This record gives sequence, structure tokens and C-alpha cells, in this order.
Amino acid sequence: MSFTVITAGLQASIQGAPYRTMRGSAIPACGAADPLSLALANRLLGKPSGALAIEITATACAFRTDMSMHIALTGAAQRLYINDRSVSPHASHAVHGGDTIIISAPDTGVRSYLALSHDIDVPRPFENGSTCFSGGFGGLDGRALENGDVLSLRTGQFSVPDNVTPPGLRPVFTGGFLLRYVEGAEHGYLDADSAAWLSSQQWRASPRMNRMGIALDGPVLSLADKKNLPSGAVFPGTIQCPPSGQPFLLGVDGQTSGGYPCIAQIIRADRHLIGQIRPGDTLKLVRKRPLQAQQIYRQKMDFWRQYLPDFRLD
Amino acid sequence: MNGHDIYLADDWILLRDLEPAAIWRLTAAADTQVEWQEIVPGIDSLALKYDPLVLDLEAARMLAVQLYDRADTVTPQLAKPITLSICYDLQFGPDQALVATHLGIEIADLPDWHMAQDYHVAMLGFLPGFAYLQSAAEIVDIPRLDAPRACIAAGSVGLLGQQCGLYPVEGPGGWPVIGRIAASLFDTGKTPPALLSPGQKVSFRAISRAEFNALDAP
Repeated sequence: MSFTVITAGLQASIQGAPYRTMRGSAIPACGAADPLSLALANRLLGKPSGALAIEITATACAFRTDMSMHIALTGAAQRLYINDRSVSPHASHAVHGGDTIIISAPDTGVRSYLALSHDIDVPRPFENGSTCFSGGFGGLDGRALENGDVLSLRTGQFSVPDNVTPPGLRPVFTGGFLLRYVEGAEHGYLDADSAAWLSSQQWRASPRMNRMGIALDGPVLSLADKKNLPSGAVFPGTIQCPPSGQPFLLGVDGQTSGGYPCIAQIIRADRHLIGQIRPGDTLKLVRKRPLQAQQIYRQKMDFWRQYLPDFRLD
Repeated sequence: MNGHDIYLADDWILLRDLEPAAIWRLTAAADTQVEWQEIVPGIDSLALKYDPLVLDLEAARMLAVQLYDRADTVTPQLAKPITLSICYDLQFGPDQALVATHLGIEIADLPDWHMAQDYHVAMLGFLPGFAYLQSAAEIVDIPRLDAPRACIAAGSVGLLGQQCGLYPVEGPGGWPVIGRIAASLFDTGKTPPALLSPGQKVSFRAISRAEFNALDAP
């Protein structure tokens, strides 16, 4: 049973749940850059929220299956074809041996998730299997998929309980993001103007981005306190300010430690959005207190767990 | 309790301004509390991540404050000292001349100088299994390379002065490199996957290129 990559595009990789409890060994989170879209894809096939799927980045992709199974696509891409037939995202579809699956490039957003009813059979370091690029493990040899790669599949637990995501539960990516943050551990290093600009100015995602993070274009921030910091923990969603004054937002593959001032931390409830930010998108940063941020997170989890009972955000 | 320097994000806490021994004790104490999803030592800090569905902000803060008391009563079980075989062949340590100049010593004396340092693992960071070693001696700062190398071999040993960094996997890097160790620093098949852990004493023993090749052979 196999699944062949015909066109991998910019960066396709096998991703599922993040690595948890491993940051002390300097293993980044990895996993789906947009864990909500991953969970929605898996839900269409009755699989656990964090089951391994194929994460597709920004460009078109094509695959061929040699067997019958079900597939589902969620995330940024809006156009999906089985052979020449156009079918909908956010729905489960039967495919058969010899079928070609084509996913068009999205107009907005970045990442899409192709879930398969059969399990992707790869080694599972730390009982996980998500691709860790910096460590060279997980997924297919710790690397992005390439044209001609063949994934082996094995029969797993799945069902097709309902074949579409309810329309109101389909995330929409518009090219504008509202991200809520709490002040970072070194927020006080910013001078008064820069601290105000963080929330008052509009920010734009620069082309310098990948799963590790996104450089933000906007006013040049200045640090009143320029002293070097001893390296310490950072997390996905941490915004660091290097001496250049151009803030850098860490993504799921962001390294576990950093030495630049941490000026802000995107709240846990909103970190799943980071994986859908594309170059040129506008970002509005809204400050919250940690207590408010926790309430927002609990409300969001209450909402999503009605449809995705095992859903987790990190 | 007052006087502790604690930063609170919405789902993680940073205990700051800590001496190394305090970090090791706090880490050992945090290991006994199941609420922490991530325990991440830094050079002078300790980060603790949790799920706000399990702990609210005040409960998390209280738990962290209790750690300081508990830390006084625990004896951290630090990993036993380790000696790493290192080859100082110039091909493995292309920046020896640069480093020797900064240290004000002859290049031929660099291996003995390096082996004489008293190192402990301060933290892991940067890359899976990458170890930051800290020397007990005061050493001048050595700057990073002007342009990072696109590819540094696994096992490479970099030096930034007081800090010595060990590269677990092949990849880009900006630390001046002085040699290469034969041991594997990171193995996904082992628990824990990293060879080294914070607080562990590390010393180096020079080996020849031939000995290195013999150890490195599969």
C-alpha cells in the first residue's frame, strides 16, 4: 500500500502532534504549523486530532494512490481535484488505486492538510513521528517530501462519521490577522515609543519566514537596554527583538532557547494562526493580561472541543 | 514569598536571575510536580510551561513559589561526569588560529588549554541535543564568525570564550570551531535522547585522527 508524491511543492512534510515535554533536550515543538486545520482534516476521517497527515505549503501539490481509501483536505487550499474532477475541501472523499490527487495553490493562508484514512507508516521517535527538520528525525528521514517519494501506508483506525465540516467551523484566512499577546519577559527593555508601537502600529509579515518564524516589518523598534542576555527558554509565539529592531515571531519549529530580548508572547489561544501567515499579510497585535489570555484560551477550547473532543492547543 | 524574580506569561513561567546550582535544584524539584508540561533550564533561568485548563494563573504562580522552598530540600541527581574524546586535527578545527589569537596563546597550545578547562553543561538549546558548556574560569569573549558556515559537521566543538558549544547534528553554525568529538550527542532511540544534561561535568581527552576514525566507523 503506497502513496506517491508526484509534485511536493515548496515544502510538504509529514506532521501531526507537536513533540511535548522535550524542550529541555532542545527539541522544538514541530508538528502541524496550524494544528486546528490538522484536527479538522483528521476529524473528517474519524481520526485523532493529532494523527499524522501531509502538511502542504503555499504551492500546488500532486499525489497518486495505489489503493482505495478516503482523503480529506483542510487549511488554506480551496481547490482539490481527484483526477479531473473538482471536489470540495472540508469533506471526505473516496479515492481508488491509480487516482491522482491535485491540490491547487491557495490564494490566502499558507498551509493545507491532506489527511489519509490509512495511517502513514513512518518511524515514531518519542511515540510521535512529526518531522523535525533541525534534528533530522521524524516524518520521512526528518526531511521535506520530494517528488517521487513513496509513503507506505497501513490500515489504521478510521471511520467517516460525517463527511463535511459544518460551514461555520471552517477557518477563513483573509490576509489579515489579529494576534493577542501578553508582554514578554523583557518587554521593559523597549523604549516608551517602541512599547506603544507594538500594539498601535500595523505590522506586516516579511518574506523572511518559514516554520521556524516570521520577521515582522513595521517601525524599527529601539531597545532602551541593549545589554546582552544570557540564553534562556523561548516558545512558539514568542516575539524577540534583535539589535536590528526588526521583531521576529517564533513558529512551531522555533528553537527552544534564545538570547534576544523577548518583548511579547502571542497567547496560547492564538498561536495556531501563526502557521497561516503569508508574506505581506497584515498583523494587528492586541495586548492582553495573562489572566485574560487564559480566559480566552479556555473559551476557545470549550468551543472547539464540542466538535473536536480530543483537540489540544500548545 | 517575595524577593523571587518571576515572569508570568499566559501559559509559562520564568524563574530568573538564578545561580547554576539553584537552577539544578529547582529543576529537580519541578520534576516532582506533574503540572509542568515543559521544564527548560536556561543559563541563569528556568522556564516552566503548563496548560491553563489544568492550572490557573495564580495556582501556577503559587506552585512556582513553592518550588523555591522545595528546592532547598532536594539533592539534584546530576548525571555523572563524562570525558569526551576529541580530535583537534586542523581539518576538524578550522578556526583554531582565530581562537588562539583571541586567547593570546600559540595554536599548538590550544588543545592543552581546552583540556585544562573545568566545564559543566549549563543548558541544552539551539538544536536538538546541542549542549552549552560553561567554563569555571573567566575567559575573554570570542565573537561568532562574521558569516556563519552553511554546514558544520555533527560533533563539532565551538568556542565563544567562557562558553563551549557541542553540535549534535550537521547544520549551519556561527561558532568558531576548534575540534570534533566522536561521541553521538543526540539519539532519538535513547531516553533521554541527549547525551549530556544540565549540571553534568564535562572534560575532554585528545585523540588522534586515526583513533577518531576508528571510533567513528560504523
